[in-house]
Amino acid sequence: MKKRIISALCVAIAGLIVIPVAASNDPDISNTNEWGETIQEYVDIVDGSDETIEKSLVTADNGEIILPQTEIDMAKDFYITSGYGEKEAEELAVQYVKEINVLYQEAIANGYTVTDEEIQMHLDELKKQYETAENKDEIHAFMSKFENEQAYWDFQFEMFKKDLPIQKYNAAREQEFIEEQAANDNPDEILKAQEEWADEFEDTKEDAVEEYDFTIE
Amino acid sequence: MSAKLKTFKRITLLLLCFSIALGSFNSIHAEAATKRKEVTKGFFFSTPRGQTAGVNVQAIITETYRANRNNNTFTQRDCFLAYSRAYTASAPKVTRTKGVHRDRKTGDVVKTFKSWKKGSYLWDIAVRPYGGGSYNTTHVTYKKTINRKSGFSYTVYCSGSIVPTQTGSVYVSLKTK
Repeated sequence: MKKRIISALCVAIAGLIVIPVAASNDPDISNTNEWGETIQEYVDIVDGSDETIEKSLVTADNGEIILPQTEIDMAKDFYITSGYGEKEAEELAVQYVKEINVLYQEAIANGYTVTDEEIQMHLDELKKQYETAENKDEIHAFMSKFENEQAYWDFQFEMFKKDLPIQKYNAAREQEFIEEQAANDNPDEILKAQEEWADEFEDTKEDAVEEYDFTIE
Repeated sequence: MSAKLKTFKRITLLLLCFSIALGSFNSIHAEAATKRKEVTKGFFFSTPRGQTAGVNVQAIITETYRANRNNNTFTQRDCFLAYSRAYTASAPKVTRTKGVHRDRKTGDVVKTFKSWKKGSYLWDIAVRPYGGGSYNTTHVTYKKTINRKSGFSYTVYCSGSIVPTQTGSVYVSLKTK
């Protein structure tokens, strides 16, 4: 009888050990976990109002855009976590940060600025959406790497200072593109334009990057 | 006119009225009905700047059918999907498959449909600006107790994120009894 109880206990303990290990082996969650851990190196820098990031939020002079080294390092670590080699990750990171900063400059030049209140409202909306998100396990895995939930939202707040104007600008351009392509409100043309937008966005983004000079600081 | 003939006429009239009433009753049951399912899901993507890209998808499947005694004839299926997206460097793409019928237990596809036409659908473009749908009018008859479902799946893809591809679906049971 004792042997049976001991065996049952062993099975139960083994189960308790194996289940979390199996869960953390989920490639989706484990990569996101890793990215959540890596990004912690940058949280204090970003939240502490990094001088170069602050400078990059101001309108660029003479078409010369500042690329904050912190943003490049963070993006490089992201691509390494995603499985890229050192050199390729570096190239992708520089290109990504160029794109983000060009889009940001174009957004503010076209009047798509945001206030802190707007960012906060956007985050409040995101909080609600996260709870019903299909991949909320992934979101929570990333969030759990921060000191606490507020630390996560503080970090997102800093990111959205640049990202929210871009998102508003992108949405306006997308709408404009669809209206141009489907001038008669024909459902077929609207659908086609919606499908074509992603490629159009990539092309125009690459063209825009070519128009600027960059300084890494 | 004899009393017998009068009685016969009354009975005939009554039977006729009853038949008409019964006919109307049956025709009410043969009118088209629908089975509908709506699913709304949010998807977020991890990017080099945290989690700043997202897509919100509303997927609706509607099956129109006529009920007979033990069977239902499904005459039309409408697959509709609308979405909103927020992004910085890469625009997430949403694509959906054509509608199918699946076994509810095994999930296997038991019926596919050709000849889909693009339909005109109304939705709140202030909430989800993009989308559209299509319909197919192939008639399919199943028993009312059939253990099958109708619907479609979709993929949300965001280039450059850690988990670039995520999926969702909407299915409605075709069982009515």
